[in-house]
Amino acid sequence: MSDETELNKMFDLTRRTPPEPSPDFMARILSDADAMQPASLGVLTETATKRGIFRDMFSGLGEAIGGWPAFAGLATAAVTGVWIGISPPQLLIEPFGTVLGTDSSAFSEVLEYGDGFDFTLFKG
Amino acid sequence: MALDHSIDISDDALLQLYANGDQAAARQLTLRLAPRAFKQAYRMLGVQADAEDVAQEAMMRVWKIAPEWRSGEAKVTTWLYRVVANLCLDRLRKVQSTSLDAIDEPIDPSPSAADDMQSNARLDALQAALIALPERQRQALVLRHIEELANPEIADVMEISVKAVESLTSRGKRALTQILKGRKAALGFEGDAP
Repeated sequence: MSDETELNKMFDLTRRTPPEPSPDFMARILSDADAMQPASLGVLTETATKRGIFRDMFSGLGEAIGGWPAFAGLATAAVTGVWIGISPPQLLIEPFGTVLGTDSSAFSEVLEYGDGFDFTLFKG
Repeated sequence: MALDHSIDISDDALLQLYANGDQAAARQLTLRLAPRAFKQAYRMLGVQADAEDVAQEAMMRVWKIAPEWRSGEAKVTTWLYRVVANLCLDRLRKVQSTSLDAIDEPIDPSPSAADDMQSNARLDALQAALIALPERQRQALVLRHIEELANPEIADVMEISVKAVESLTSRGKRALTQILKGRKAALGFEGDAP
């Protein structure tokens, strides 16, 4: 009989007689499974539920306004607004500077409201 | 869910049920996978307690990955074989100096399967010879000839080419033959019918 056949006989015997783990091995595995199992879908924890609500809210908002490109547009607009507030361009400073000051007639000229317009009209 | 017909449920589906909180799925996965992980680890390590530790660690990784498991991308068993194989290699490298004295006496198989001394002697001899092989050859032989995996799946588990698997199994078998050569008579092979 060849070495190959003898070896195959030994492998065959080994396959048919697998080693048995100790009795408490399966119990330990089941205990781990129980400890690590995520909560059942019907018994979500309060934290998980709150997290879900916020996630759903942002996800819904994103979908409503067109996804992440819309968020990018909003962010750009916000940053631009802040920038103009901090450092306004010269063209804006000159006419609106008059509004911030006391010379309201100069402002009405710039905006071409006409001679009759005066901010005093709005006073009660 | 009682999983009365769980034999028809795939490992993938059981993992999903487990992730959804189904306790019966946990039991079913344990029955299916834990003995397999233990068996593979025992053939690699030869020490019962170490094999149980490795199998337990591998099963913990199963529980951990369950919520993220993507059905259909990989076989659960192939993934588990890989985890066990890597854990065994890590352990073997940590205890490079393991001598044969540290190897357990092979576990007695069930009496119905091997109730004669010759069978026990053959089982012991093969386990001892496997432990004497280089790790990668041992791993390839265990997966090919004991777990009966196909070469492409072994290649997947060991993250090598199919050709490399063929080479490892071929060299491993030659080495086993050499180790067992002087014991033919003791193992009752001389005089066997061809």
